[in-house]
Amino acid sequence: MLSLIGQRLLQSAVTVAILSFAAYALIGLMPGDPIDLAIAGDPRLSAEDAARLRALHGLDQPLVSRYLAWAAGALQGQFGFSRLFAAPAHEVLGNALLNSLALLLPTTILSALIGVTLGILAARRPRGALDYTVNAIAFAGISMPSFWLGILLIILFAVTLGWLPAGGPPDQPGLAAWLTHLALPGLTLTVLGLASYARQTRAAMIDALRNLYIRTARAKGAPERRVILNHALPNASIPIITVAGLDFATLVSGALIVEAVFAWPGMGKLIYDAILGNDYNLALLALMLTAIVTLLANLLADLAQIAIDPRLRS
Amino acid sequence: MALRTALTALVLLALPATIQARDQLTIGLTQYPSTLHPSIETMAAKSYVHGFTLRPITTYDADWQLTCMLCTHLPTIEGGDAVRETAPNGNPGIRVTYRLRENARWGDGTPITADDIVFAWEAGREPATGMGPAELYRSLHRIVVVDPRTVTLHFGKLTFQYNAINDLRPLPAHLDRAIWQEDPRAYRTRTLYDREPTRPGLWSGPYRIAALQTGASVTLERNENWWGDAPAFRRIVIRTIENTTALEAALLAGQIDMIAGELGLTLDQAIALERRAGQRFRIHYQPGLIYEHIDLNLDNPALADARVREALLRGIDRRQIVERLFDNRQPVAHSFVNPLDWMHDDTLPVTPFDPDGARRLLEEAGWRPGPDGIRRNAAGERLSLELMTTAGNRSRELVQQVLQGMWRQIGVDIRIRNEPPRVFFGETVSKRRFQAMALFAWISSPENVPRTILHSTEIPTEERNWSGQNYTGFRNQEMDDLIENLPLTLDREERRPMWRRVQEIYMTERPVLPLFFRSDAHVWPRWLEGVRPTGHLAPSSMWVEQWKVTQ
Amino acid sequence: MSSRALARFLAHGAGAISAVILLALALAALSAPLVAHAMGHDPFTPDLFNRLQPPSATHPLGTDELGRDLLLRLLYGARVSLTVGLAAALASAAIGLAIGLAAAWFGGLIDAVLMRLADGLIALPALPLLIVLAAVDPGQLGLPRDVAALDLIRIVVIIAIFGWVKVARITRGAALSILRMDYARAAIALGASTPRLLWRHVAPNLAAHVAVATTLTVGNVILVESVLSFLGLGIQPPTPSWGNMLANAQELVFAAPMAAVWPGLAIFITVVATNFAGDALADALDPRAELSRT
Repeated sequence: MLSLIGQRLLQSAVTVAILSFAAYALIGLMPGDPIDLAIAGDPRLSAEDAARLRALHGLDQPLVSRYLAWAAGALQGQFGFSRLFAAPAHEVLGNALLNSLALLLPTTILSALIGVTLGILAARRPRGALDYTVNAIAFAGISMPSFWLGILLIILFAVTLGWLPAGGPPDQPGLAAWLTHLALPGLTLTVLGLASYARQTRAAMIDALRNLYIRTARAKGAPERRVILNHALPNASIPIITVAGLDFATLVSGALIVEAVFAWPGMGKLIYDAILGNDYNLALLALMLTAIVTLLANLLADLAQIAIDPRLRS
Repeated sequence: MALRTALTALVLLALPATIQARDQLTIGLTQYPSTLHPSIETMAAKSYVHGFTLRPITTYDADWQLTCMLCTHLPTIEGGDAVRETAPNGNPGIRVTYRLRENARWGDGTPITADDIVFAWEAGREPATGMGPAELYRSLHRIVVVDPRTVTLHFGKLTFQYNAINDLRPLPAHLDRAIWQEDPRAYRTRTLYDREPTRPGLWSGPYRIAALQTGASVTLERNENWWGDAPAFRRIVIRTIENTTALEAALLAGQIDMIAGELGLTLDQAIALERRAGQRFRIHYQPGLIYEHIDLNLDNPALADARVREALLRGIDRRQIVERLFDNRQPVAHSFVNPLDWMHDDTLPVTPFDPDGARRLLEEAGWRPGPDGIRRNAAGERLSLELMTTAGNRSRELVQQVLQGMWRQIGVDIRIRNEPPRVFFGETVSKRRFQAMALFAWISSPENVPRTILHSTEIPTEERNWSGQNYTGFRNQEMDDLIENLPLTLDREERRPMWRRVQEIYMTERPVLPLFFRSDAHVWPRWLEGVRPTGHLAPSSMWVEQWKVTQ
Repeated sequence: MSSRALARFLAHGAGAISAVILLALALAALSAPLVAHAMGHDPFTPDLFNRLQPPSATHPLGTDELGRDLLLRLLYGARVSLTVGLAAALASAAIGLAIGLAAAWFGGLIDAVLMRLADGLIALPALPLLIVLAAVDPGQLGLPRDVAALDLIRIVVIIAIFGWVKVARITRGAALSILRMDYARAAIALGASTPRLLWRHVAPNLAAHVAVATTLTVGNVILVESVLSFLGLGIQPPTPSWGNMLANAQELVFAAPMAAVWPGLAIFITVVATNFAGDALADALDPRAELSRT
């Protein structure tokens, strides 16, 4: 087990390294760098200004050498300055990360819990009334674009009823203020997120409940609750854990659209702006963080699967 | 019951923001100012915030006249405080003497002096500092400090705008100079404007920055050391909501009081809002210097023919577009000169909507209708042009589709291919890679000499680092001469016929299809008065002390 | 599909109805030009005098912000949205299934490389890639400048590049557990050939998971296209898609809410139908289904 983890961590480190170059190169390959844009936007910029600014931001160097310089710094824990915000990249990132976690951590957990519960309930009697209800909720979640659901909730709860703020982080500190400001974006993300859990759980549970050992368990007179939770659920959990692993990976990459609709300054918006603004230091730091969390989340998901299904240990 | 209590609790929690005495104003904006230094990089949200917090030496006001803010009066040649001289490089130059207001001071009480101007100039002309356009610092070759309140600026070139130094922003030498001197290269990231923006000494306007919430809001409070009229609000909060639908919702929900037109709702959103909630808000449409137009690539063989360009302009009903899509809230453009600018000449004949004339012109140019209704030339090539714009700008995409339909009527096929703004501006337009037409806007200042967009030496090429904005590839000797002579002609009445000729050439050569001048939609609460939008680059916030609350 | 499986599929009531609905949607999409001809409108030409009209005899669903018939736009939009949804979902499912099976079967280095590639792709931002692709000028590549098709391909490619990961991980997880089952071990011990083993034993047992993941993807893809339009990277005007109709309607949500309701409803119906069809398919393909039906 330990050697497996060690192996995986080593692989992950290699992946992160390759990924950092891929991301750097992709940003660099995007046509139109900030200097091009500045020239297009500001008639007072002359040819010499353009050359001077390009040199100043190091954009006159080849991509590979710029990447190597960045990597050398990053390995020593120096992530440089954000070009857009004229501040150390990690400081800019810290704020956005906190905002994102405040929004995404509770909603991810909630949508997983609610989604899995609904999925189990639905699977007990496929095509029963409850099953159709759960499906309907899930389909509404799947078929609703996040920006639409967000705007509808704003119109209902903020504009028409006036109960909750339309968006933005709270002005004053305090749990109550945070909760009211988190309510609508949180609700949006939870509704959208639980659909996938409910559907996947339902399918996996129906599948598991068809197995012979379930019939055996039932025949032996085991109570239904026990049959479902102790016999079927562990077997059904592998695809659910896979989905959860993928889902938790998005914790640090933010939710761009929901952030935009609720004016929530999180990681999604930050990464978007950093990439569009060719803010290499900021973008790379954010992407490396995303990559590391993704890899760890998937590693944890795999370990959890092995823990549940000992046969996977080979 | 529990639910009810919970709801009541939520209602109570949500209320305090809305019931408060009118000593706070919350403004919605679609952009966040990612940096706050006055001279490094320009950004609309930043200049809006600076309108409240910083005072420039000179600026254009809401009547498009140059005025003094930090200076006591505008220096002029007639008044004797601007004197022509020969610059060291032999060109005609000028020296202009400004006197700063006696009581002007920074937010920490330190007077604003000549030293602050000298520091701004020294930092700006040092290449390592990384300030954007260096043109000002190149032409301003010498500063003589007469006394702490008086400076004489020596310019190496002479233009009719010799006394406009809107871009020379004084910087607080007592706070930032030491940081800059230590390492000019690192100044950009170490300036107090971005490290400690709440230091009162950085600000010189009626307000100073009290708090920042990155990406979300900027909170301003009264500057205790402000020397002018006291502003009405104790506190102003500027909230960033990038999505305009969410911005509108926040307004309707009472979370923000007003939406700044400089960075606010789209015109059709504002028009729809006025229909529904006209009693709650006052909506002001400010026509301005944002010129929506289509650049034609004159290297395209079809567009190189002046008759085709004229036919294209005759084929579109801009009047109807403005009427139907924009409720007549923005004027049709016939050249790049805004009707509100003094040099606009309304005696020049404009190109009318005339589809029959357009068809005739296309026939003359050798484009005959083909079997699919699209015209073909003698070689059998279809008259098919690519019309590009910024993807995701709904308003432009609507106009684009209407134009496509109108041009189809005269037998011209239009293919729409839009790109994200950074690709469109950073690559396609600026490197002249658009096949036929590029739809976008210019924003300029009053009486702007269109050197970079119309002079033949300003056609972007690889050799000149793709600088210059003459994207159409327009070359006209007479236009070049006019553009060179205009700035040198100091007398306004002497410039008038020259401006007329510039407009005439532009309107008969048609390197560009003018569409309209965009209007900004300002949304104010009924109780707010005195906001005067300018329609040019200077934001309305520069005159915040005139904003008043009425009952 | 064997006849027994077909019978099982049809026995699934909602599934059968869904299949009919999907077929009807596809037919409606195909017949869009005929309907346009019959109604006498052109869904691409703006009519500024008829903006945002309410439903009427000439325009059954009313008109959009440029005075074009909403029903026709919806039908033409179905062509784009259904094509993108199905193509991208099937492509991701096929790639994901192949990679997931390969990883589970070969294990070792191949498994490690494939799965880390999957991890990496999830962490890689799609945005710069989208912008790079958006800037590709078809003319310079010698391709026809038929823009609508190009947007479509670009979106399908992007979604497939990033979309196979989920299917691959689900497939790998499920395949690993199946390969450890007694019957699979027995088959290996009896010397069953690899393709036969995968096809006869592993694939049928995977069907349920993959069908659900794939049908979930169809709805997802249609929405991704909508989000891309929201960001200005979607299907270009004047070609309608449900996604860009929805995204464009969002700016006028207070003024003309119905302009958004129709494409939203179309997406909802499609999602529901594909998911039920997916469930039915999963049932039909599941070899143990007969056992449980008592």
